[in-house]
Amino acid sequence: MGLKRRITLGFMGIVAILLIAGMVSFIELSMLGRETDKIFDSTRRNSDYASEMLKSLSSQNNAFIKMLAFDDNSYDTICYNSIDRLEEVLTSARRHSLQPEFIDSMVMNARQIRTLCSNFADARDSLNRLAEARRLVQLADSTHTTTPATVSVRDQRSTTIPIYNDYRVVYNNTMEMVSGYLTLSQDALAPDAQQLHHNAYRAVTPVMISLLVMIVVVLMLYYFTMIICVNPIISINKSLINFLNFKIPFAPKCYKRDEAEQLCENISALIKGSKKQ
Amino acid sequence: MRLNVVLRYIGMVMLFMAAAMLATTIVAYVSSRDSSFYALLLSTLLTALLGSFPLIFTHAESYISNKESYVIVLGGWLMACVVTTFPYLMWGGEFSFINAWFESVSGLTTTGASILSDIEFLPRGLLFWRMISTWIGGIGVIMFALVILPSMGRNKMTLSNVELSSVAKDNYHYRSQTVVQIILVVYFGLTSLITLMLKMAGMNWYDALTHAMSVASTSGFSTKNASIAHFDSAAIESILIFGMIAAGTHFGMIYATLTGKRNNIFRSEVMRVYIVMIVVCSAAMAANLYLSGYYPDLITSIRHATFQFTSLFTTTGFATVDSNPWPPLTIVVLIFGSIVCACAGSTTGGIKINRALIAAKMFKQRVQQQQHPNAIFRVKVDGVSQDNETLQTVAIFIVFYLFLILLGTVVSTLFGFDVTTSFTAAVACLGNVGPGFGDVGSMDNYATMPSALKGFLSLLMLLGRLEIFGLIQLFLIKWWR
Repeated sequence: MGLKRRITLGFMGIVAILLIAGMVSFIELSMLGRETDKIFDSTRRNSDYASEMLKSLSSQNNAFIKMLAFDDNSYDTICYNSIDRLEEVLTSARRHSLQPEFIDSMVMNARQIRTLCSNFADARDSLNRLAEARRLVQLADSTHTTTPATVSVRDQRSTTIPIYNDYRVVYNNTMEMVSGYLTLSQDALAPDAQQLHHNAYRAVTPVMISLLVMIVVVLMLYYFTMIICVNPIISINKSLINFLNFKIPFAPKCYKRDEAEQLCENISALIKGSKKQ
Repeated sequence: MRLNVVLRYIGMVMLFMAAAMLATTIVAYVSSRDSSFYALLLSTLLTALLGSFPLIFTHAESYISNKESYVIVLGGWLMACVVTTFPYLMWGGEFSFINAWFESVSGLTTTGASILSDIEFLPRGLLFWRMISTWIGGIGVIMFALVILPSMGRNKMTLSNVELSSVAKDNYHYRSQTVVQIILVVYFGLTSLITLMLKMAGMNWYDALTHAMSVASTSGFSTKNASIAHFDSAAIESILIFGMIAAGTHFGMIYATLTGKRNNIFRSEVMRVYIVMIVVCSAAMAANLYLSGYYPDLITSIRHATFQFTSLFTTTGFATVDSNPWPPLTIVVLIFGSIVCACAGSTTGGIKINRALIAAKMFKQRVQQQQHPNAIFRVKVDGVSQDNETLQTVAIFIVFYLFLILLGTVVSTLFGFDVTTSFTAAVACLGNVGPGFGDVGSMDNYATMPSALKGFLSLLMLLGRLEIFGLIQLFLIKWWR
């Protein structure tokens, strides 16, 4: 390998480092950008979904309380529609979620709410049916006054209050989960972004390391250029001057390889030839 | 000294490290191109460029001097430590600069001390790099480079002489090239055998291979936060005990035994002392644990005592339990094991039994000499009379080793750590053991230590791995002239 090729290769090496460092930094930063976008998107989506969930839950809760307070089945439809809406939102949220298992537990809660509402409606309907039956019996035999015409408040409470208690726990739990869902995306940062959690400068670490390597390589290039090119030329020139001026034998002391070695040999041959003449 | 020649050989070591990084990059790629893939890829390319640069400009030399060999070995080690940090730094996470340096030095010197509080969080590629770097460090980056890289001619002898422990050379009666080959064959064989055994004991291939690498190099790095306690398997622990004892044995002796040579394990005095120490110390610890009521039954006491002692004695550092709350006697025995350590010519650190045995015999000789002033007593190991230079070197080594432990203890206490933590951290780092006691116990790590102390402990690890004299040469300016 000649001097020209060695130095060309050396410079190519530096260019390669620059290229690689640039490329990897570009890839790393693109990845970081994508991760950040993903987090922003996820956060925005979470907010939208959470808002929808809260609306559905609130509407369902209002309907349920009215069902409870007014003993009227006209609110059932609103209640079930709200639960349907909540389940739809949860299904959409699950598709885009970074932690689908979290949504799964919310879906379970929504199902529990539906079951509890359904249980409450069934209990209420059966109590109403009982009251209706008693009323009919009373109408048929107006002399019988031992059986009350309506269901007692105690009967009603003993049936519905346990359901309401269960409902309250599940409802509160679901509300807490919706609040948790709002911050879920921040907690579930993708690994690449999580690495940047402590030190923002990590994004440029590959470039910094590449720069350090390049400094070392440039220093090496300087050293090797000196040792294989500059020093031999200076030494050969000095030795040649000494020979021409003071007739000191031509013997340059340096690292002589490749063209420098050939140059020395050629000058020596020339000197020998001139001596013979 | 010809710097260009030195740079050429260090460049070869860098190329070897780049090849190891490339293998790890492939692992990261296969593991669904995990988050360490780009970090490893860029590190591979940078290391390869760094290594190939001096090769472009320098010709192969047929002769390298002893001084140049020292600088090549030291430079190779230091540069290997530097490039090992690249993937860690680029990946980020818990790896600040000092943490990456500590982990890298700890891996390459096979110390196995870690700053990671959650190892299992690391991607597979980076975990594999951690393991492969420690495996390379097991028998030395230079030793690996010597075999894999061609065209070094007789320079191999000079380099391997510098890289090999001074007391380890006695058991090698072969050409330098053969010695290097023997070491590698035994190392590869041991790693493969342990991998198969661990796989059969119930580990998956990845864990089996990585733990086998860790055992063969006696580093003690694990892919699990709870180290070997994670597996809670007597079979795995038994295999690891076998592996650790084998890795702590002189590789030349293992080869000689397998090939039916005369200087084999069964004839070696050092080996006898090694096995007797393991049996006696484990038994003493088990008895102490059982009698003090720490464990309800004797079998559990024997199981944990044997594993922990073998682990620290062979400088591996694996743990099956937290030995911090153990009775004082067991802790003293474990610390003793961490200072003496296994045989020379293995992948272990510490003073080594060979030196301890010579020191004990020197003491005996001294006593005999006082009784019979005119008699001539010789210190013999395995029937071979030790010359005065060897005896002197051993004595100086032990004295300086103990001085460094003292220095390490003092420095750690300056940072506010208690005496137990400071002393055992110094012992563990200088002996390349890994875990100590106190804040750096078998189930803890070095994460809480300040950066300056981590830097100092890294220096102790390097001093221990290069057997003190090697690294100190680097700081003697006079020697450079």
